[in-house]
Amino acid sequence: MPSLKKDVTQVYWQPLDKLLAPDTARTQSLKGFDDEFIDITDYIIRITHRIWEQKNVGLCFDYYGEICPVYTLGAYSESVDLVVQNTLKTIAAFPDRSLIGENVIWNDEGDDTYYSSHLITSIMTNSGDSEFGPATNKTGRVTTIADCVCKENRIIEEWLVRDNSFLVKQLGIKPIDAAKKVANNAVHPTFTKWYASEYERVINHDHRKDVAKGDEYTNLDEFNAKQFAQSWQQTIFNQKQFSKLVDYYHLNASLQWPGGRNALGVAQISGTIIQWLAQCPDCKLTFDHIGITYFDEHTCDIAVRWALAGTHSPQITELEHTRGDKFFVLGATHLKVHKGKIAKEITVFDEIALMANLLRTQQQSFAHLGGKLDV
Amino acid sequence: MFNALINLYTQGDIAGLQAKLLHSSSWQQHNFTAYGSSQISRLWMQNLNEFGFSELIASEQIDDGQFSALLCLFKNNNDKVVRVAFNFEHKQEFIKRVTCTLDSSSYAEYLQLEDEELVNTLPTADPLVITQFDHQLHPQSYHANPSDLANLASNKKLIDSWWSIWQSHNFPLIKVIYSEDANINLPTHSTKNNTSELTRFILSLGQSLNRSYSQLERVTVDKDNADKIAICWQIDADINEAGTIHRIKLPIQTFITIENSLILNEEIVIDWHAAMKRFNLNESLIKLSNGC
Repeated sequence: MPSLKKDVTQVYWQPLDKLLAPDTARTQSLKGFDDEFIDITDYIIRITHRIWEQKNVGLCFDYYGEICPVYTLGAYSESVDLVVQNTLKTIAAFPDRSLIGENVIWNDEGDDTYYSSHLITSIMTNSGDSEFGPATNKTGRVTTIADCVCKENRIIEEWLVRDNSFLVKQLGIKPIDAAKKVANNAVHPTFTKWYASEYERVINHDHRKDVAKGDEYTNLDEFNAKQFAQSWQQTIFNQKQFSKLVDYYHLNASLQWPGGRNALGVAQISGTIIQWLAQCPDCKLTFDHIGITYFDEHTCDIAVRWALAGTHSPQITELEHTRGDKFFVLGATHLKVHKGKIAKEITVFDEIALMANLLRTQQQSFAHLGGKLDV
Repeated sequence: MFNALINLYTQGDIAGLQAKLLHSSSWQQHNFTAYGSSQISRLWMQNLNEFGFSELIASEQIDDGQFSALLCLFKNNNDKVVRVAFNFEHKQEFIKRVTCTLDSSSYAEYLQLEDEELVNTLPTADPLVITQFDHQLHPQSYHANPSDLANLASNKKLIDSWWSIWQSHNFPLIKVIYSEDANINLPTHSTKNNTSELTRFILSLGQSLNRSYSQLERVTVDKDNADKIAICWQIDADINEAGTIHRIKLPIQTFITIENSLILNEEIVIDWHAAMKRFNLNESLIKLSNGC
């Protein structure tokens, strides 16, 4: 594995004023990017700040490709106009939304293309009507991971996941009620097509094949992070060998999963993953992209984009009628790996969209029979 | 760093502490996490409004370079004392995240509020899903010991023994690892406790908390004095209130001072009232905060 670059901007300990006005020379080639950007992290942090916190929504026209597929678990869009419209709608519903950049994990994809995975914490007050219902005037916190393919100063493809179940709970809305509201919105045919093709791709993954964890190492540059992450996902999520969690996690590792699932240590992590997987016990998971970034002498940050598919086995009565339906998740995870084991995991996916998709499938099936399901 | 935290409560120096925060800093208190300067400042303002400016009558500082812990005893005009524990990640001049735990038994007395009144003043806790897990210490399963998380040097056996009292209820070790004149401050209304009262407190927790599991979060050893140790940990357990079983999570901060290879001082800080608010509980936790 090539050495990790150590001179690209690190967000974790940087004050905002320094992030917004870097004073060092460019450290990556960034062909086609504006001269002001010193590296891909700088590009992501500053354009996000300009678009969201300075409310220059129209800058999306400068920083997004004219055609930019944006995948979320709830919708699909591909034109920059829609990116602008959706950004505007979100700011209207949450006018004081702050975007606190927690981390940017990146990868040089070659061909002057960069992949970034941006972990964001937002604080925002729901003072306007939103996709979840009327304004609640409550303030909430939400974690987002935005994975972007960037080329020549523009984002040309994006995968966006947000922990909406955690958000709506703070707004005083039950997640299932938010999902019912969202399910009433029609989805674009392209989304339906993408959703079906992704489900088929993931469900056919070979989940039994062993993936070795890789050798022990003393120097971080010898750590095969990609193999480690692939092995972690295959062993835990596909093969469901939970006694091996200790091979991947530190004994006091912390885990943050959607909706407020927090775990500390191997026993709690085991319980959290088992309980969650039980709603889709035959699930298969694909490892779709990885980014690896240097943090310190013994620590690296890993960003993994993944997808999961299987059959729904509901854990709440309001979804009982969706038993046996297709269950599909688009997710992203940021890992802090210290001395070869996970010290911190933040996993994000949109549980509201997940439930809405299940409800929507039922609505459509019922409509075919001439009825309308009241959800 | 320590002074900036203390000055917040003694002088109301919000600007001084704010200068040490990053855009991405967080402050967790009463099971609520404030992010960013505007949320954190609001929380401080509320604290200062309730506290008034306080007098610092004692403090304990533990610094391992990256994580530090601070225990403060603040006194107000009514001569009431509150214990406040901080555990924070920092680097040079900046603080990244702070866990602030108020000993809520002393806090209620400090503010001269009834339990219910205090609960009503607290912020709404972050959403939390406590998932069920196997709490048993199976022979070949792995559970953190303090020495797994920090270099305890010559105190390894002592601190691992201390943990086994909480994790495995290994009570005979109390006589082995505590000094005869150990000074223990339990998170109850009574202070200046001894090892007998510590035993009774752990027994009372054990009786009230079913299927309990203790998990370490962080062990901080002072870089200049290895006999000063701070431990962040938590208990997950079932608790019965009015015939209904509730699964709860109790974050705890413990400060230990060792002398002659025995525990001489121990401070245990729990925010019972934040747990009451988060889990909508009342009598069961009030009983525990009263030490019975």
